[in-house]
Amino acid sequence: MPDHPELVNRLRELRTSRSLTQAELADKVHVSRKTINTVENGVFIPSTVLALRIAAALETGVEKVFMLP
Amino acid sequence: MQADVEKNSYRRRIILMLMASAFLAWQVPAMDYFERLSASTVTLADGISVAGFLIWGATLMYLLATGRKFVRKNDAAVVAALEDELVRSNRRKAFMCGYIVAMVSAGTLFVASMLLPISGKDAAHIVLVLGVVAPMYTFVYLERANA
Repeated sequence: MPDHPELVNRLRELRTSRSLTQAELADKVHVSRKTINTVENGVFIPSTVLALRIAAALETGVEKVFMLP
Repeated sequence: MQADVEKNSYRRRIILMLMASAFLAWQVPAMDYFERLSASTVTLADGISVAGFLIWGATLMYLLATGRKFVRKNDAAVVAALEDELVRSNRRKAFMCGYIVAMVSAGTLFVASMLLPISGKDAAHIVLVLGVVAPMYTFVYLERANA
């Protein structure tokens, strides 16, 4: 059960649009592939720092990756 | 790098599972209460307890030797990924589960002690064992569920 079910993220869509695998993105942000997988599935809400690192790795703004509907 | 992370994460789960099971195997037969209930198998129980103690001791020595990092190669990126936010979150949840299990078992034993002859030593032993083992199994479960 996610901590914040209302939080929407477009991580999978943005990652695949940049032809990155979960493992490649995980390497870029220094976490495990599992962490990227759980963030994508909305199971785990990352900290602000990790969210910013993910956004930077995807060369976009954090508000484009995570948002409230 | 991710292959090393996955491999070491798996190794950590196996070692924790082994440790928790060894701790149970060591402690449960050593409880006077259960010994009385299974007096006819006391020799087998003693053997299981000693084996559990040896495995628990060996895994503790292994963890001390590896600096609790579960990593053979000293790769900073792999170590960091093995201790990332998700792992820390899972560890927090596991400790929370251990606290709840300890409280519930203490409450259960308190009620049971009104109906059964349970000594304070046995009750403390049961709460202690469950309080140690529950977070370990929970952490393994959470790490496996997220894999």
